[in-house]
Amino acid sequence: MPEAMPLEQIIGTWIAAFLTLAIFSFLYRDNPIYKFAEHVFVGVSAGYGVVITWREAVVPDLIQPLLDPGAVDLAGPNYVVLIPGALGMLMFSRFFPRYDWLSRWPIAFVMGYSSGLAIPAAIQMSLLPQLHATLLPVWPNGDTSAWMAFSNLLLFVGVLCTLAYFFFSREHKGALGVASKVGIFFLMVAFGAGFGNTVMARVSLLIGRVQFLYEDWWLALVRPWFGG
Amino acid sequence: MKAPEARTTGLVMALLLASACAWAADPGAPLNLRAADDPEDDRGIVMLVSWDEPEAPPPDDVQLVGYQLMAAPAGESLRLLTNVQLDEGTQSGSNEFRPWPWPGYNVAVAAVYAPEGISFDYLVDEDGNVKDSRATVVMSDTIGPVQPVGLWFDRDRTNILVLVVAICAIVLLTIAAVRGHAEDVYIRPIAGLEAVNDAVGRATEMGKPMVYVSGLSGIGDIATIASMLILGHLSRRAAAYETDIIVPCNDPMVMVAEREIVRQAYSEAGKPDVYRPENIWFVTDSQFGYVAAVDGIMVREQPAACFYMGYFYAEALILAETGNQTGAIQIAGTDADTQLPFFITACDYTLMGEELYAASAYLARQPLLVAQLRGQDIAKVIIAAILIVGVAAATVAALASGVVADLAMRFVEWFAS
Repeated sequence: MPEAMPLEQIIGTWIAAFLTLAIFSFLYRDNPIYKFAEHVFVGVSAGYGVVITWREAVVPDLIQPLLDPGAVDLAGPNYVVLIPGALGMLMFSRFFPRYDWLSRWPIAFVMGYSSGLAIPAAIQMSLLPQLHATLLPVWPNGDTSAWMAFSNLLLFVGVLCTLAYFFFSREHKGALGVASKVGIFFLMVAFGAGFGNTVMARVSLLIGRVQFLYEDWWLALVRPWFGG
Repeated sequence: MKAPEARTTGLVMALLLASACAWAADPGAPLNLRAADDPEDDRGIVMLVSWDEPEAPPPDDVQLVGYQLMAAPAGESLRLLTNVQLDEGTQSGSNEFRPWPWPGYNVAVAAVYAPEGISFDYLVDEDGNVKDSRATVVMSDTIGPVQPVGLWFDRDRTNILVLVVAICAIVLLTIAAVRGHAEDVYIRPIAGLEAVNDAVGRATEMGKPMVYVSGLSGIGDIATIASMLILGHLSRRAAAYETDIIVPCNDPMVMVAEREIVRQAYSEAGKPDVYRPENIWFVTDSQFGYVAAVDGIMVREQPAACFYMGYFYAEALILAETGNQTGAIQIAGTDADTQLPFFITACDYTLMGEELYAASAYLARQPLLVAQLRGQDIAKVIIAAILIVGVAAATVAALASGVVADLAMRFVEWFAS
């Protein structure tokens, strides 16, 4: 056993390596070891989620503003937090079938508020930036080379045709049909590029995991047992 | 006369020594602190603060290395807003002030001294607070309350207001116009949605359940809301054929809403007794913990059909790949453009982007939803027209000069967010 590594780190590395291999075993077929790792993963993450919610949301956003305002830089209790607190408590009415309809109130509040917020946010963060980024000169001039003008034109045509594909209330025939077909072509080119890019990122994640198994576990902990 | 002179000299020397000692212990504080609202800031969250350097030079063994801008609403203890390096001068702006109702703030600036050779960055922790015992922090007088005031109307967002009002007006007017004859409005076929009914039929014939995943976003996400509308339709079909539908959830609030939707769908289909709430449950809110669980469910239950509708992240391919291996018919729909390639690759049918939103109108054929879809299409035509005019304007602005170019450029820049 290597002496340089602390015991808790050795135990942690063994557990991590076992769970990694257990999850990888799913690539062969479903098996009891995978089931064990799956249940540990789900149980630990659900429990961890509860603790995080308590520490990062309930305590600083509800309990401290009411009972310990100084801890969150408040001069006095902030009773406004009682409103979201009460809405949150209504979710517990699910445990009482007679009153479970009360849980619809916080759900309705969140859905309504989120939908209302989403409309200006979508225009500000998606529509306007993309619209503005497309409004570029399509003829060469002092600041725009011929190649850049061609790129701008391609972008313009791509956006228009892709927009045509997402036109639902008219049959895709004639000019609209041609434009939507060209739009699909642009979409597939973009998806192909995105696919390749993301696969590369996933491979790097796999490399990281294999590197952990090889360096941190095999070389550091297992091979020394075989005199390596 | 010698004795009094000696006493006077001694007294002067003692006073000088005492003042030198006091000076060494307490280097100078920033002077003449001034704070004012930033007139360029429409939201009222920016305050401009300036000050004068300490008059007295610091003792020989330390040097001034920087300043700390502190502020807090009246009645609260001062907290650090930002650190100012010496080469940044004696003024700073902070945009960390609270928006409406724009409380008044007490403001102070601290001068930070350190032994020679130690820079400001070495004295502060990751939150910017001075923790090094070698540092001496000397606070200025506190001024205030100073109130950063915003405008009730943010002029920078006029374009957003105009577009929100225009698009909402178009949709509302279309709803009013189409309301009476919504069934006559054409909606182009969407292959993935036509396959939904086939998938339910397949599951019924095979006597196997269906798995429905509504993404990893919360209940407030538009994709999740669209997904729940599709789940409602799917549940009605499943109830009619008494086919099980399994809905593992990533968010507890989504779970509650989906139970309500499915229960309602089973009631509408006249089969409330077939509804099984235990088939819709919360798994975990951890991304990959959820994926591990859903993969296990798919392999063990061998569903006849898998649906992935909503917003997805890196788990998209893992889910779709596992579903593909089980031989299930797979239909996906998402507005997460980075995940669409994976669904297109691994699923039989994929609803891309806005097709997911259109699905509810397509499936339900409710007048309100159909009219809304028509209204969105009209808005798209207007956006296409803006694109054509805008590109022409950008080209004119680049080629021409004078008033025409200026007007064209102003048109283009109006759309800057």
